[in-house]
Amino acid sequence: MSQYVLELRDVTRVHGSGDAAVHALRGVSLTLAAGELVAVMGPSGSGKSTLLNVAGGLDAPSAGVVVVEGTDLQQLSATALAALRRRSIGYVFQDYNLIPALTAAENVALPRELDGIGARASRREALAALDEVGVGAAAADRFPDELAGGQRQRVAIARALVGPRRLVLADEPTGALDSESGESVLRLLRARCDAGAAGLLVTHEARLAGWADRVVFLRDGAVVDDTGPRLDAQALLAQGTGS
Amino acid sequence: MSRWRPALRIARRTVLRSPARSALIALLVALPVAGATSIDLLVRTMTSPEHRAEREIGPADAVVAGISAERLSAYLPPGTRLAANPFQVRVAVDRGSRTKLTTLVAADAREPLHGHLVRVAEGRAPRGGREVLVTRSLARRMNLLDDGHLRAHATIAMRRGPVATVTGLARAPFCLSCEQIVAPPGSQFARIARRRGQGAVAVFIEALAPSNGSEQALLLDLPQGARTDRLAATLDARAARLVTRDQVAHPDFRTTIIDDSTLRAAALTAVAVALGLLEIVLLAGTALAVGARRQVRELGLVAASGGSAGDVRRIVLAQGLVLGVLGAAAGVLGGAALALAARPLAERFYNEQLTGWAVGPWEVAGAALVGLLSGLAAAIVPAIGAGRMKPVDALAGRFRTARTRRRRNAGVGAALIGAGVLSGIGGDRLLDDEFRAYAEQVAASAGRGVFVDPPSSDLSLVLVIGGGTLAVVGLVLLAPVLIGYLARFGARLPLPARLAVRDAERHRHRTGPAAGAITIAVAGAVFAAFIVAMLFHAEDARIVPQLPRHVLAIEGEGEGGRSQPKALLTDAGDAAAAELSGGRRLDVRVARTDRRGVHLVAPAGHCSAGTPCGSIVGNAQLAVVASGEGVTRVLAGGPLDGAARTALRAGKVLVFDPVMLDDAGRVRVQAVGPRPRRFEGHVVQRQRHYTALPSAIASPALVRRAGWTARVDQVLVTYGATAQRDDIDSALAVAGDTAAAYIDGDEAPVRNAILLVVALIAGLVTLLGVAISVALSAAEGRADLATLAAVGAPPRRRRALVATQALFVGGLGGLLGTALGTFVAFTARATTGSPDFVVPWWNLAAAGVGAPLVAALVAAACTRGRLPLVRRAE
Repeated sequence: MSQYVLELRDVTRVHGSGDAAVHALRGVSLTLAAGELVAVMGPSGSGKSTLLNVAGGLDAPSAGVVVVEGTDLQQLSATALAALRRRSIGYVFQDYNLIPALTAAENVALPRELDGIGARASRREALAALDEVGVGAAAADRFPDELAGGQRQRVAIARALVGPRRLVLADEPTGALDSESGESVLRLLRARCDAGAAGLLVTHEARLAGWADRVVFLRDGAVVDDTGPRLDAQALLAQGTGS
Repeated sequence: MSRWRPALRIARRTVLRSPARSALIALLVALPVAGATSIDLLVRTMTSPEHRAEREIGPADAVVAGISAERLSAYLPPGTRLAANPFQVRVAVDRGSRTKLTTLVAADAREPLHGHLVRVAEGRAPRGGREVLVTRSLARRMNLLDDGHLRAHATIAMRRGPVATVTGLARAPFCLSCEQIVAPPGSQFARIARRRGQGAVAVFIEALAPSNGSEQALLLDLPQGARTDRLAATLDARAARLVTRDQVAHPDFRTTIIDDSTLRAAALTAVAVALGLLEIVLLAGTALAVGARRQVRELGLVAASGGSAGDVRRIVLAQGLVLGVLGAAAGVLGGAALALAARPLAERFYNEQLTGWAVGPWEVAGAALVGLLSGLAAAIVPAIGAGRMKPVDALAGRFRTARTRRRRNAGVGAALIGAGVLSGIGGDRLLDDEFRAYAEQVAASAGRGVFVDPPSSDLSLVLVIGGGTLAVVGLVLLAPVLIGYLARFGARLPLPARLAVRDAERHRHRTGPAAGAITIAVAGAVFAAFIVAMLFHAEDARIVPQLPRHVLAIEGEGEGGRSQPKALLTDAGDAAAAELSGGRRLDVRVARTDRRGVHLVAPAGHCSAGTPCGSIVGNAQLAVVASGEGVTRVLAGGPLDGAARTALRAGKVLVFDPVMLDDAGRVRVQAVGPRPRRFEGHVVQRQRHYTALPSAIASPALVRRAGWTARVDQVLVTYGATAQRDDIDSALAVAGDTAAAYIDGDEAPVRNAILLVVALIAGLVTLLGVAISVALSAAEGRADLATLAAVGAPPRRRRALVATQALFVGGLGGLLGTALGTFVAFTARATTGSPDFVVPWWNLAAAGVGAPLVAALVAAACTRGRLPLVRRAE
């Protein structure tokens, strides 16, 4: 069993061919362990969203290997990939995270119901997940258009982590929120990672990247910089004293 | 099942969140269900056993024949009501200076057991003597109404008979439009009418056939619990017959004949229904496809949450299922409401009143099931397309379909069209030789009174109709490809047309099915128009009138085949002539032996095209006239020329059909003995054959030499062209039962109405298909239109854009449908009996050009000129 929740090994993604080919990712390698929150930053068109899509199996790489919890995604059929997304991977997008025709609780319960879990059991899990992210029972039965922006993102995070899922892929989750709501969402994500989940966060705001353990910089599809793992106080002291 | 739960939940709520689109789809599903339900209700009710029983014996529990009322009473249980079956008779009544023949029914309006024959609609029931009721139709004809109500002190007079007071208006529940006088049985008026009228008979009760026991039938209203089986056995022992209400409702002798024509009609109906349902599926599928596209990000979210392609398909299918259920339910309820609303029309069509409602639950359930399945079927293609989306494309709002699928559909479509065309040509070729021969026979026998059977072949019909069906399906598959092909020429068009054509190409998920639906409807309507036009032409080509125009004939053979005396015939002729302006009596004498008439015989084996060998069509008698008599003009269609007069004087028999002469130029006449006699013949050219007039003319001298006599066997009354229908009716009334007249009906208005209805159907479906496509385009294209507004496009651009979109989709469907309908009609022409291929130009123009133009104008007129200002980012 791999120690990493997510591994990208020399992943390349090319759209189109010949003169019209676009290299969205060029030989990207990345690892993500449980309890770790990694931020991915870079200018528009640098391949951040493509990295997230490839990491979650929504898109297939042109080359390289993507491993989630020890499973090589390339070896999986479309049905098996869908099952992996139900049980291992959760997504949070900038906006339009929730299905308008389902209530908050039903949105959170959706992956469990699609996995064959009964309606009542799914609802129980959903309510528990909503409670963990600070969305009360009163809001659970409201539709997305009846919730505030911050509440909607909390519900999306709850859905991303309901059940046995351990990997959260968040694409600009605070992009449509005010700064206070955005901070509270990141605080929640940070808390979930501290509790054992692994998170890959795409953002273009440095202050939000500050919540991460590590920041990876992308430009033109390639990793150009990596801050390395966050150092604790002991490690910093050891660095400073050279011992 | 658990994976359907979230799909059904999403579907239910999506349906509620898009009320306009959902209502459109549900309405499309509901329409055929409502139609089938209402037709089933009305037809089932009108043909139900209970309706039959009510029509035959009213509220009676049983009917008895073969025993008198006095003897029957001894066997009846206490409390039984008894009533004699009424009689009816034709009577002549005075109508101003004219005479009218009408029917008198001797029924008691106060007798419940006569309730199926007469009910009082206004006024009161007559009490006997010289009191009567009349139906509203007769009252209107006899000018007895004031503002729709019976005039006070209205009367009606029998011709040369008593005058009766009309006490009220009657309603004949099972003959709503009939013109009738109703008088109580045994009343003076009824007794006199029976004596003086023509052909008094008991009201026919089919259940007593074939023993014809209606004459002395007795209607019984039995007390509760009466044992009809014992009564039947008792009466049977006394040579009487009892038929219960249940037996009247379910007669043993009624059988359903299923023959080739029934099967053919059933097969054609099944094809028409299937194409109609395909139409619904295409139109509803267009709306569902648009819905799936607007839902693309939602479907992407489901995929991102772990939904498989199957889960995505289930969500779209579930919408079809939900809307199918809603549409089916609405259709059943709507059909019931439609049946209620259409009740007066049905009563007018059947000429009977509804007596209740008969519901076929299985049939209605079947129609609802078909509706539900239509909704589901409409969602199949959009569901498959949605399931094929890549999650990453869906999340980005992109709905892409693979090019390979379009190429495959194009290939299949082209193959189906090719197969359909070949099949149609094959079916046409099968009957080609027979059809040529038929056309020649029809031309040769025109005006000669010969009916020629058109060629028919089940295999040919299967190939033609099957080929047409294949071609329709092929065109539906090919429509999106054709749109893509035509869009290539868009660069050369003005801006609104360019935008419309490219929009159509980009949104083939919507415009393709809409064009396909229009193609089906237009093809069907054009095909129907061709067939109807050719059937009318076939009718005209084969028409065989009995008499020339402005001629009334009174036959010498009366009731039971008995010959009427000359005096009666000539009196009848004079009376009829007096009713008509310019009326003139002409006696037709025919040759006969002492005991029987003589008649022409066609030469054995001597046939010409279109004439049955060895038989005469119509009246084979030999008319006996001198050359100068006026009746010759009618018999020969004009004055005899010199050669004909000479031939007649020389003792030749004048015939009108060359086939009557044998190789030696002789005519064969059968009189007494096994061998016909032969006479020299002479052919007179006559424009048309009339089946009621003698087929040959001989001189009195020839008849004497042959040892025959001549007797008046027919009286003709010629009259002027100004004679009105009422005058002719009066003349027929006074001339008696054996009188007949040829009334040249103007069928053009009815034929034009039928063709107009067919054209309207094509136009309506074109409008519907275009409206759906344009409305969905407006919903999908709001962002594009907002961009137009942002760059300064004037408001009229939107109208021009919408009109061009409508014209493109409607025009493509109209042209394809017109071409296909014309082709199938050409290959099916042999089955109509028309010797020529008749083109209904107005219908073609309306379907191929008019309907799309109207659709474009309507779309433009219903479009707001203001361009929307919407948020571009979603």
